[in-house]
Amino acid sequence: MDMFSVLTDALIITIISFLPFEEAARTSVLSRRWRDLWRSTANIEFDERFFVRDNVAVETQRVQRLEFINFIRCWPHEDTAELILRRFMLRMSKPCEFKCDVQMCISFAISRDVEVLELDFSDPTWDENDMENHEPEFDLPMQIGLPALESLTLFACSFNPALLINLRSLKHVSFGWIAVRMSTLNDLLRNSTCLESLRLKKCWNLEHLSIFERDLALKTLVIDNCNFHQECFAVEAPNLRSFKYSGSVGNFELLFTRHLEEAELDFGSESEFDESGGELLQTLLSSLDCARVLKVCSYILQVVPTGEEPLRMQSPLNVRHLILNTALHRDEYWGIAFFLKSCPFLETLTLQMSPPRIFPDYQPPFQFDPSRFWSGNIERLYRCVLRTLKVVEVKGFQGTVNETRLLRYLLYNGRAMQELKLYLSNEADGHGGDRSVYFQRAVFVMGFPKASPNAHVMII
Amino acid sequence: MSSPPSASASSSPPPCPKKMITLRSSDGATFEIEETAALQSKTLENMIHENCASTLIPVPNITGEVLARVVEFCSKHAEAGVDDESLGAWDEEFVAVDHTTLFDYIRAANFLEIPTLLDLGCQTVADMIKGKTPDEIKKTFKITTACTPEEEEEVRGENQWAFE
Repeated sequence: MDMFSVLTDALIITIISFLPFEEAARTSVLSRRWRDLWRSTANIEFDERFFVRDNVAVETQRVQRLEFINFIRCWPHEDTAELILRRFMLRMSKPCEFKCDVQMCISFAISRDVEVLELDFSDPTWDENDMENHEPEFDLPMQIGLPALESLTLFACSFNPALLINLRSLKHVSFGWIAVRMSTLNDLLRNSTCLESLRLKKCWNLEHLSIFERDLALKTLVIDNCNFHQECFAVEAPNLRSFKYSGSVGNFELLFTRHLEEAELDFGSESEFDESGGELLQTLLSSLDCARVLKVCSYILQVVPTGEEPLRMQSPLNVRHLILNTALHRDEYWGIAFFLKSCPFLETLTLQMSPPRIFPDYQPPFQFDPSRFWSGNIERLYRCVLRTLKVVEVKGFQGTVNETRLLRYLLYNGRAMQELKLYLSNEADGHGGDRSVYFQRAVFVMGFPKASPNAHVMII
Repeated sequence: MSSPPSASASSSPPPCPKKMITLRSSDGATFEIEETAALQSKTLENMIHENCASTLIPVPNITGEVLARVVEFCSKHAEAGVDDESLGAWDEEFVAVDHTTLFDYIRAANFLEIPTLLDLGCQTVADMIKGKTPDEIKKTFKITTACTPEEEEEVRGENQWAFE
């Protein structure tokens, strides 16, 4: 018997509302009863990318875009006025071409008292890595009368800062591809005392970052490739659990507490080797020393050993899970050793293999022979490797010489090792290597001598 | 009922004994629940305020087996000092039941207007639907399709974008 027969239509709609929009639409074929129920979902995503594909001709894309606009225009809105709408998301590039439709969408969402509002007018052709500041595609002309709004996302959509004053229930804010001033952020933090997460992506016009609100409830802070006038980041956030930063190296003064659980640093946009940058990085890392999960990039691996103490942090880090974005290039060896030595409680090590970002003027702290670096001489016997490291993951394993050297070292010395997971890369390596070759190499790694009788290698 | 004397030296009022409400299920079983826990249900909240004298509330639509679990849920969620993580783990275990029971929870939460339980139950069913093909969903929930192949073609055509 159909299990859903004991539930009312309203209850099925509540269930559908927990599905992503595309999946909700697919429930239309389940049975006659389900045909139109999904149109009452409380979770609406009008996403251009459901209709417009990026691998077709421009003319076809234009037609697909019109199908998308038509879809929006045909969406039932009068007879559903009593239904709850919790989330409304609109993603569309070049909104100026359909300004009226966009405005009607926004009015529709406001009239239904949404809790989550997401407007994304960014263009998929914009390059996240360039420093270009794109003019906003749309301006929110009105005050948003949504005192119950909990989550707001605005991408490439400018707004009047005064709008934020009335949004006192805000918990999550995400701004992208727009100009934001520090004063706007400070007003936001002061007015929305429940704010839990703040994300800034590709924003510009920020003088610097200066966050010192008393009793800040903020739990998550993400700064993603923003353009600051001055690279100074002073943040006091006693409740912060998660801190993620990508962009240029700057002056960091971070006052976090033991609540900090994870930290991610990505200085991939730096283009020069800074031979005196180690000090700054070590100070930054010590302000993040409570984090249990730490992710660092290749730049950090190359530069951190240039501090006064090239071999390890002055005080150990609390890290249990270390994620390295690395090519396992020999210029990163000292950095990897630095972290292994600085994380005496490390339990999981994840190597996310990525293309090398190596600086031509890199200088190692000491002369060394790369082929013998991981040979397990006494300097390489780190506490975490010997005692606490249980799981090692390699994402994008290709079985290069550098990968196998490090893995041989870890298996040979890792007395607490339980699992080595090799996630094979799906990309060709340009020398005729492909997944089957990587598989063979992974099998070879399986045969390495292991210090831990429980260690077991998985190829995925 | 007399209240025990206050042990503290401050001028705060003496602690009141917890007021218990008794619920009676459709099959006559009775369950005690603290008033604070009962207030998780908007329906019970209204009934409590209407029948101030009586503390026995009949709940005709729900069997004893399900009502017992609902009482457990409300009591757990009314407990002070439980952190989010452990409450989340407790909730996960609570809904690790067979489909029929899960649907019973949803209907009970709907009737008693307990938003936390309703959301939890519906989210769990949604998670079972996510990632499955229509055929897999029909099989899991024994949905016997009343659509003819032509009807199904038509609906797919209407929502083509979702199937690509």
